[in-house]
This record gives sequence, C-alpha cells and structure tokens, in this order.
Amino acid sequence: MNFLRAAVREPLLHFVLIGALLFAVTALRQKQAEHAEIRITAGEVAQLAAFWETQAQRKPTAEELRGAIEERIDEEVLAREAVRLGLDRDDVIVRRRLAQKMAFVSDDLAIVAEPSEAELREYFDAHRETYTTPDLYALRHVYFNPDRHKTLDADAQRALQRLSRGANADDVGDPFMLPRELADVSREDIVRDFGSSFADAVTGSTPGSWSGPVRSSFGVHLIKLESHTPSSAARFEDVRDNVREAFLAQRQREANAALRTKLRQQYKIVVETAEGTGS
Amino acid sequence: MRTRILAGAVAAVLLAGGVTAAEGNRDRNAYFGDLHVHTKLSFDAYIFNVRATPDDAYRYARGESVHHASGYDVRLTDAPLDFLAVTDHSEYLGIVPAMNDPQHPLSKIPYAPDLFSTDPAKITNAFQQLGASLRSGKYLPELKDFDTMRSAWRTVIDSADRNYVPRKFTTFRGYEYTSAPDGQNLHRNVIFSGARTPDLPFTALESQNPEELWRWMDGQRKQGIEVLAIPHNSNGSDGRMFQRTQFDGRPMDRAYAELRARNEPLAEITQVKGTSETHPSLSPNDEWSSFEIMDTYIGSATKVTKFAGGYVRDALKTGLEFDQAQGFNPYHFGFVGASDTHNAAGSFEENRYFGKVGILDGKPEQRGSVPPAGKTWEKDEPPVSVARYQTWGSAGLTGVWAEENTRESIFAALRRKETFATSGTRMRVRFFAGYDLPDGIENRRDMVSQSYAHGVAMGSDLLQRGTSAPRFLAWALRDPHSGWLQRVQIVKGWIEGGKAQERVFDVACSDGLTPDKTTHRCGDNGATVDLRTCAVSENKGAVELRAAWSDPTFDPNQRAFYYVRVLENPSCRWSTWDAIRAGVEPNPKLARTIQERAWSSPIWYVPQR
Repeated sequence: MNFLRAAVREPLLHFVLIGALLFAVTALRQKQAEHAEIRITAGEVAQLAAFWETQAQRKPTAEELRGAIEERIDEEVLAREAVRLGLDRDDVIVRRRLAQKMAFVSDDLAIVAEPSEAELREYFDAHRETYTTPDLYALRHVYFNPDRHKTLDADAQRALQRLSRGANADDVGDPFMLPRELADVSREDIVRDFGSSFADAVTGSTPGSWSGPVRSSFGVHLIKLESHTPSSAARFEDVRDNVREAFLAQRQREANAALRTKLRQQYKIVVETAEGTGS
Repeated sequence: MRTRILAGAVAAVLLAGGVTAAEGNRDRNAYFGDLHVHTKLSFDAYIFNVRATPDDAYRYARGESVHHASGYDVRLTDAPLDFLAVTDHSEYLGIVPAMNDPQHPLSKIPYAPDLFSTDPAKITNAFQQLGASLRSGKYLPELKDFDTMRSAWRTVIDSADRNYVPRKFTTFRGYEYTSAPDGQNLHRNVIFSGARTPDLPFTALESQNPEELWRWMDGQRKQGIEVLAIPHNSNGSDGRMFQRTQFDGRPMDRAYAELRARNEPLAEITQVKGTSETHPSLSPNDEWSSFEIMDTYIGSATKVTKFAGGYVRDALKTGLEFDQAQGFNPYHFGFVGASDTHNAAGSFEENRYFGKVGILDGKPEQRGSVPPAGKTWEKDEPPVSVARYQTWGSAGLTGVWAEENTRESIFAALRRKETFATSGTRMRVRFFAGYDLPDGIENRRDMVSQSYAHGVAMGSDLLQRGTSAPRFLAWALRDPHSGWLQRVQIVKGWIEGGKAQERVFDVACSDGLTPDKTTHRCGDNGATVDLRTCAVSENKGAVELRAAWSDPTFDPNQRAFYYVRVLENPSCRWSTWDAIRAGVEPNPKLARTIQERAWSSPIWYVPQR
C-alpha cells in the first residue's frame, strides 16, 4: 500500500505515464493520418514566389523557391499536428480569429422575410417621433441688390405697392441666384440661406399677402408666405420605404442575435465565478 | 405659379432649401460638399491618432461636433454640408486599427507595437514600411489580410448608406486609390453612384497604373455599377499626373484618351495640400497664380522639379494641343475642391483652422503659425514637417448645380461636369455660353432658364456655328459667411500656331469699377485687411457680380476653353488668425492674407474640322 501510495505521488511516474499516453494517441492518429495528403498547389507555389519577391525585391532562384516550399510544408505539417493535439484550443489569438471569421461568414446571411403592412405600421407607430417633420413653409420673395439701388428702401416700398395691387412677382425686383420661390422648407433651411431676420419675417407672417422689406444676408426682400404646414407626424404612406428599411435593419440585427443564441443552445455553458459556479 | 408651388408642396415630403417641385428645381440649385475625407480606417490617419469613424465624418458634415485627435472638439459653425463621401485609403483599409487590437492576429506582427509606441522614431520607422509599400506598389505579405479589409470596406459603405437622407443630405460610397510610383502622386478618389459596389476596391497594390484602375471601372460599369475617379494633388506628381504620354511612356492614342475621359470627368484642383490650378512659372502673366502653392512631393520634403503636367490649366492646354494635332483630348475635365482631411472633419474656415493630419498639425506650433515656446521667427529654423504644414491651405469645397439633393441628381451633375471648386468659401458661380443668349441677359430675372434654353452650362462643349462669336454669362453670389466679391475673371486657353496660349480677363468688377479695355483688369477697389485684428474694409466689394461677355480675341477657327475664376476681397490667412490669437507676430515667411476664390468648370469652344 505504502509503495503504491508513494508511486501515485511520484512525478517521474506521472511523466512516464503521460508520455506513454501521448505516444499512444500520436501513434494512433499517425495511423489515421497515413493517407492524409498535403498538397501544395501550383497557385500556392506562385504565391510563395511572389511573397519571396516582395521581400527580396528579386525573383527567387530554383533553390530558394524549393526552400520556401519546404518551409511551407513544415508549416502545414506542424499546424495540422497542432490541431490534432488540440493546441489551438487554448490560444486566444486562434480563437478570436476563428470567431471573427465565423461572425463574418454568418452575419447578415439570414434571409429576412418581407414584412407585412401590419408589421410595418406597428413599427411605425412604435417609432413615431423618428418620422415627425418640422414646420414647413412655402414662400415667394423678390430681391433688391443694395449695390444696384441708390434708394433701396423706397424702391422696395414702391415694388411692394405694385405687388399688393396684383403685379406678377416675376416682373418685380432684381435677378437673384437662389430660387425666388421655395416649397416645403423648414426654418432651419431658411436661416441657412437667408439669415435669421429673414426667417423670422417668414415664420411670423400670415399667408397670402406680400410684406417687407426684410433684410437677408444678400440685401433686401419682399416676401409672401404661401402656406405653412405645422409640424406633424409623417403619414405612414409617405415614409413607408424608410420604415421598411429600419424594420429590416432591426430584423437583421435580431436574426444575427438569434443565430448566436441558437448556436449557444448547442452548448452547455458554465461560467465559474469567485462566488461559485453558475450556468 | 400658385399651382406649381402647391403641386410641389403636395408631392414632396421632405425637401431641402431652394427646391420648387418634386422633381427638383429645373434651374438647378448649388449644393456644397466634400468628396475627399479620411477616417481612422485609413492607415495613415490611424497612426496620426485619429479615431473618428465614417459615421463621425457624416455627423460632422451635418453640423454636429466631433473629437479632434489633439484633444478638442471641432464643428462646422457656418452651415452644414449638403453632401459628403468618406474616401479612406483602400490600401491596407482597416489594417492599422486591427494591428492595434491586441486580440487581432495582425497585432502580433513584430513592428506592430512600434506603430503605436510613444517614440516618434519608432513610429516613423514602422510607418516607413507602409510608405515604402505604397511607393513600390507591392503588398507587405504579412498585412495582406483581405478579410479585415473586406470588413472595413463594409463599414465604409454601410455608413454611407445609413447616413444618406434623400433631399436633405447625400452620401456616396467611395475610396481613395493611392498610387504614388516613386513617390510621384497619382492618387484618385473613386466615387460610386449608388448602393452597389464591388466586394473590395481596386487598389494601387493591385496596380499603380491608373489605366488598370480605369479598365477595372469599365468592368464595374458593364455590371451596372456606375463609378467615376477624381485625381487630386497633381501638384505633388512632379509633372506626371497630366503628362503627355501614357503611364508607361508610350504615346497617347484615342483609346487612351477615351478610357481616361470616360472614367475621369473631373479633377480636384484645391485642397489642404495646395492648389493645383496653375503655378507662377506656368502662368507668369496671371497675378493670382501663386495661391496656396505646395511645391513638394506628398509626405516628404522632396522638391517638385516639373510644374508642367502638374497643374490643371496646363493640362487643359495640353488637351487642346492633342485635340488640334490628333483629334482626341485626354484632358477634358471639370473642377472640384475638397479637404482631404484625415480628421474625418474638413477645416474650411480660415479663422478656425485645425489642420488635416491629426496630432501632427493639430496645434499652431506644429504648423508654423506660432513659434515654439522660447523661440522667435528670426532665430528658429522649423523642422521639415512644420515647414511643410505651414504651406498648406485651409480646405476647399465642391459646388454642384443639381435639381435636388439626391445621389442621382448630384452624381449626374458630377458626370456632366456642372461643378465648381472653391477655396472653402460657399460663393455660388454660374457660367453659360451660347450664340443666342439674348441681349441684356445679365439683367433678366429669368437669365438661368434663358441660358439653359439657348446655351450650354459649365462643363460642356460649345460647337462652332459658322463665324458666330459666342456670348458668355458669368455670375457669382457671395457666401454671406465669407468675404465680399472683388472681381469675376474668365481664364481663356486657346491654340495659336499649334501651341496653347492662355490669358486672364477681368469681366466684372466691384465698387462701380470696369475692366480696362486693353489690360482687361479691374481697378483697385481699395479693400484692405487690418492685420492686427483681421477686420476687413466695410463697404468694399459686392454681394454679387455678373457680366455678359464676348471674347475680344475670339477667332472662330481657334480651339479654346474658358473658365470662370471669382475672387473675394483679401482676408486673413489661417496662419495670421493663429498668430493673432496667440498674440505673436505672424510668420514672416507666410502670406498674411489670401483672396478666397472659386473656379467654374470650363466650357470648351470646339471648331469644326
């Protein structure tokens, strides 16, 4: 008994036993591997030659190329043996790379079914705030270039009277490079092109009549607000394409997550923590 | 008229400013954007400590703030952009960020840690590996990781698609093809029209020969993927970008010219690394030819020796000579401007300049506008890098004339070259030519629709009509956030005795001045800049300038091109603003003021054979 107990504790024996086991496994595997083929294709040989050339800045000699091929065979043999012996398993680099490759080949591959109208409407209702449009304005204006008028304000006033009596706006004011009529622009859009005092005049006026003059970044204008559409949630019909895109993107994300969950189910997952073991 | 407005109102849901109907404005609107932007996915940007993503680039363009590598936030203060393309270097796309990811196998490459060390010498050394690979056009085999590049490319194109808001903000899928044989810059930005792109870009590591890129683009087009390429920094090509032969030195032929014209309708003529319109040695009679000149190779102190072939005006002239002698024109292109920012954020405004290469030029002392602590301008000889960055200008912009702010409409404008470049200002420029433009057109409120009906717009050919002389219409409107306009010029190139000539005509002057009949120059409008404060003269310059112009030297048998250049009054250069903020004298080696400007695409006059 004492002898056995001592033997069990004997590291040398452990070493011998483990060595014998590894030898047995390797021998067995080697037997299986006898027919496994390592083939270096012509394409790969060409690639090896190209790599060689990149680093040496000249073509390899026949002997050098043979050397590169031998190295490649060694690499393949060692890699395969490493996999046979499971040496890839505890390597964080190998694991990350494999996971990355798997994610790359598996993500976004699930075919997401075309959503029904009901599903789209439900999504739209749940995300209404995304599809709200700001206050929108349609307006006309005529422009007076300060460089071309000695009596700028008086000229603008006279033009205002003509417009109020029904003159065609196309016949009034100076040429202007920005559009003389704007449809469906937000206050932000107006500020950007014409400045904030112009925008204030537009948003503060009542539709249907000419007013001004108001100043912009370019000079003086007369304005006529044609219509004001208050901020509103978009109609589903108008944003259906956007809703569909957002819906599909969400479905795709869910599909990717579902795939991972499904893969997880093929494993019993145990996480050991300092407090204890949980699964 | 009312019906038209209402029809527009009903049909369109979310229209950007300046649109009058659902199908857009038939007179076309000016939209401003940048088709040349790098993010952390570019190998160099990442090394410059830039961590901003493609999404950040689009957020910045729409007016949000993003973080600068030098530790502060940047934001477009005047107005958001209308369109943008992220164009990261396709070579080693996403590879350098992966090398910094300890969990990525690329991080195990022996020199990977050096790229991210705190020792500038090590960084430079490791960076040289990549630089040498790009100059030689050969892959570093250890970095040839197509999976990583493919996944980075997907990040780029997904971000472009996700940030596209039709009629509000347009994005394009794109990348930069970074060919620089022997360091001579042949870079191109490749811009796709829509939401279809190949699996991976064609890079300079596939071939440094741009002809191979164009053939690949032809192949894409056959598969229904529309794409164009925009060369940039011809100023750093040492005369090679617009040379008189094919890439390998063989003579040009019609097939080459057509291949090139089909794929490269545009050239980027201004950006941070200098302006490539023309050079004082090429245009000795142009008083404005020395604007933001960069006379070195890209990323090195090597001096450029050949200016011919490196600037667009010269290239357009070369094109005329080929057309005259051989019946084909390899250089028939329009103009765009860009930032080439590597911060995911273009620095367009002189008074808020923040450089373009991350931590390398993010502070005034690094870009030669403020002397290093304890040094003075007299005593200090700046390091090579500083000497380079101080010559860089603030970013340029592209203007397009398009019906509406959508991919389709803007891409079509790029294709037909109805574009203009600016030095960063958002002045608008129109340019038309025709035989039947009515008298007094420049004073008509409908001059644009008249011009489209009776003439051709910038970027077009005007064919000879007997002995008739065309009338030109040039029109510019100031950017309310920038300076006042000083003059509108028409730059003409033509063939005389088989040789291309050039001349600059002032055609509209501010402040009641008129161009002199013999010198074709406006008088001095007296606009000045106070160099202690950068304040500019009040009441000098114009809101808009326009002119109908006939070429006094027109000869119906002479092949010619014409383009518009508009100059603002002088204003402080970014380096002067930096110095004033720091309370020091501006660097005496640098121009203290500049004249912001815009360039229209050319109109070509084409005589019959």
